[in-house]
Amino acid sequence: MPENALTRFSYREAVRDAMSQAMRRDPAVFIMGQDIAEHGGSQKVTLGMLEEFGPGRVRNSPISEMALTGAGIGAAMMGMRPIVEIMYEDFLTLAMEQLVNHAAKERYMSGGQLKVPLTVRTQGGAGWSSGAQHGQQTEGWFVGVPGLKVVYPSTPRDARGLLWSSIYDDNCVVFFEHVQLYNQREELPEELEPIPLGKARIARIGEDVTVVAIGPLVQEALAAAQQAEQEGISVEVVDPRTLQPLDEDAILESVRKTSRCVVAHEAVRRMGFGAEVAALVQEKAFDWLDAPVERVGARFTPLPFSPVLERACVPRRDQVYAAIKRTVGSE
Amino acid sequence: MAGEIKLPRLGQGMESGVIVKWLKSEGQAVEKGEPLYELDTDKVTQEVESPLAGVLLKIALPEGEAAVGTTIAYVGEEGEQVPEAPAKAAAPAPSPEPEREPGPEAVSERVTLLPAASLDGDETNGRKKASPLARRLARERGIDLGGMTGSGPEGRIVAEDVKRAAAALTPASALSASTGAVPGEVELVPLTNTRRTIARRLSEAWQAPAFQLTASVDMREVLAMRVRLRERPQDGEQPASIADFLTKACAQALIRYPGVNALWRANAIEIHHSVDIGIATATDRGLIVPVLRGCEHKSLSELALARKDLVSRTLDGSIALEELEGGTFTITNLGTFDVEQFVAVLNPPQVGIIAAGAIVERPVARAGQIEIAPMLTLTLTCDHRAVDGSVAAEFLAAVKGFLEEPGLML
Repeated sequence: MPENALTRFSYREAVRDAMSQAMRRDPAVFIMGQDIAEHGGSQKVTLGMLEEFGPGRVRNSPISEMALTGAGIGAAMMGMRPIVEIMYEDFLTLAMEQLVNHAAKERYMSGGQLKVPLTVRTQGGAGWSSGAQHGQQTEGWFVGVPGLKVVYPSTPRDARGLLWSSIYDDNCVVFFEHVQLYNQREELPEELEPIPLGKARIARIGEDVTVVAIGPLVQEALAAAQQAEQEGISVEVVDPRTLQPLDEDAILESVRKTSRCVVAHEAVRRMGFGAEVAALVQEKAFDWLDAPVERVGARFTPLPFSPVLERACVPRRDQVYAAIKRTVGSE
Repeated sequence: MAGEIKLPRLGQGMESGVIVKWLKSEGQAVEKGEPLYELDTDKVTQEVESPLAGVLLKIALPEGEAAVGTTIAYVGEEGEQVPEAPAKAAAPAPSPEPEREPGPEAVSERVTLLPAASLDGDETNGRKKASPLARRLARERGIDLGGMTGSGPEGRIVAEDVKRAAAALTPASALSASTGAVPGEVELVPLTNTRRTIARRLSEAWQAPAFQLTASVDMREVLAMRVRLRERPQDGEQPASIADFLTKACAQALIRYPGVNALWRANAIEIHHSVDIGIATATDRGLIVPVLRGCEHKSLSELALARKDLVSRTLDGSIALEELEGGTFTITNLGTFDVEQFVAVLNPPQVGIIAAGAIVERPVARAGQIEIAPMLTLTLTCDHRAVDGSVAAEFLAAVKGFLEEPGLML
């Protein structure tokens, strides 16, 4: 087989590959979480890793997100590069004290004497009728905490390259994965290509309107863009990939080119990440805007268990398409 | 009784201005001398201070063009009533000057003819809905949003509407019809206020009976002196460029021949004894001529410093309107573009302008020998109504003499 030949990776395998490659290379990297060893995690992301790395480095934890995260912070401060998996991002609430008051603050409060190179992987999102407590999108909460970095990849390539950079970042990174993306596939080289944090990706080049989308909404935005193109509307899709630090320049450059902007995520619209992007755009690209910035996000309600109601709440291609049409005034 | 704020005349020749934006909103208190609004004249955009103190009761002209003297706002005490009606339309009041430019006139005609009802219908609390981009484009192209119908959601004026209006103001249809060109192959650049002024003033200048005199100047001494000056410790001084030597030489020659340092007026020739030289400067907004004042009193290094400051502020647009006025003579220099010689058009009411080309090495016959010398070609344009050929020739010879023996101008 030629060196660095292409292999088909699912998003799930890409995440696993980043962890495995880091663990093969570096004894300081280990993983910890609920049911991640024999069971391979609730979404089978860590399946097979116990066999390769043994129970010392693939550790099942008790059912306490606070203890699990706290242990990760301690290990990180002592020189390890732990990866902690929180089974669903809904359960990050139970680790909030550790994340917000410790992981995010120790480096600052110790004047740089302590570092917390901890990666908190978590997964979630709607689309599988998981109900109000297992399908929320919470990434926006963490973007507002100074000291935390927040990553949300939308493709296998980005997942692998960004997870690698997260593991090797000397700060705590909260790394979001979406359950609906795990089976998405992409051909990747065997050799891992790290992707720096804080760099956006232009997922599609267009002229008339910029859609800034994250997570599963990147795919939805691309589908909406294809639909809009049939009507002669040229859509650019920007995936920030890292929400904190944010690649403001990439977003602003695109909006200044297209003069219209839609922001899209699966989390509820109100106080979502998109609100921050909309504020950024009006602040720094005001004189380039030809239409109000449109926000696409979930309705302001707990996520319904009923699949029909769930679909009614969570934005997908149609909502992005409608927003695109509103910004170009051809609704 | 509430006081009216009228559009002021900020400089000679200013007939109208375009209000870009208000820095205060209705109901806000304003001090006398506090910046109140931004005004775009045909030369610069500047902040204008309030002539009155009180509460800004009403903005009669939110944005757009108005003639000098039009009431644009009322300032008074809180709750005070303001008179109804005047200055609703942005049209300049009839001016005594018979000749008007067709471009901006056409815009304002359209504005006045629009029925008031349609305006009110599209307005929200007196503010016309327009996207930020549309407003910026309108501002840049000197277009009034007042009479425009928006095609965006809820009647919002969007960029496309402004571009269409801008294209309609230029004789595009005539152009494409006569040449048979496919629409879209021709790029239409709507006239800015600056470009209109350039066009009007140069057309006026073309009416003057002008003549030109040319002289070749041996620049060996100036070049040698420039090298020596640059080698000295600078002490924060600005090293002099060729343009500064030329300015200095013209200033000294103008003092000796004040007949060239003059303005042509209707009933008199205005001779000036202070040398205020306009420096023709190419900017991305077009040709602008800031004035370097008191050149006759300035040393070479003072001239260099002042000229650099003036030109850089002209290029970035921060130059004030009054700095563009009152020149008594103009220098234009295309040497940096490798132009060897050219004829400048007068800058009225000035009666003289000198055009400098590039310094080029040429064979020169001297005392029966052929030498190679760095030569500069100067072309002086004068208004023959005010300046006779012999005076102009003496002046040009003096400039040449100073440049060939720079010690004489110290």
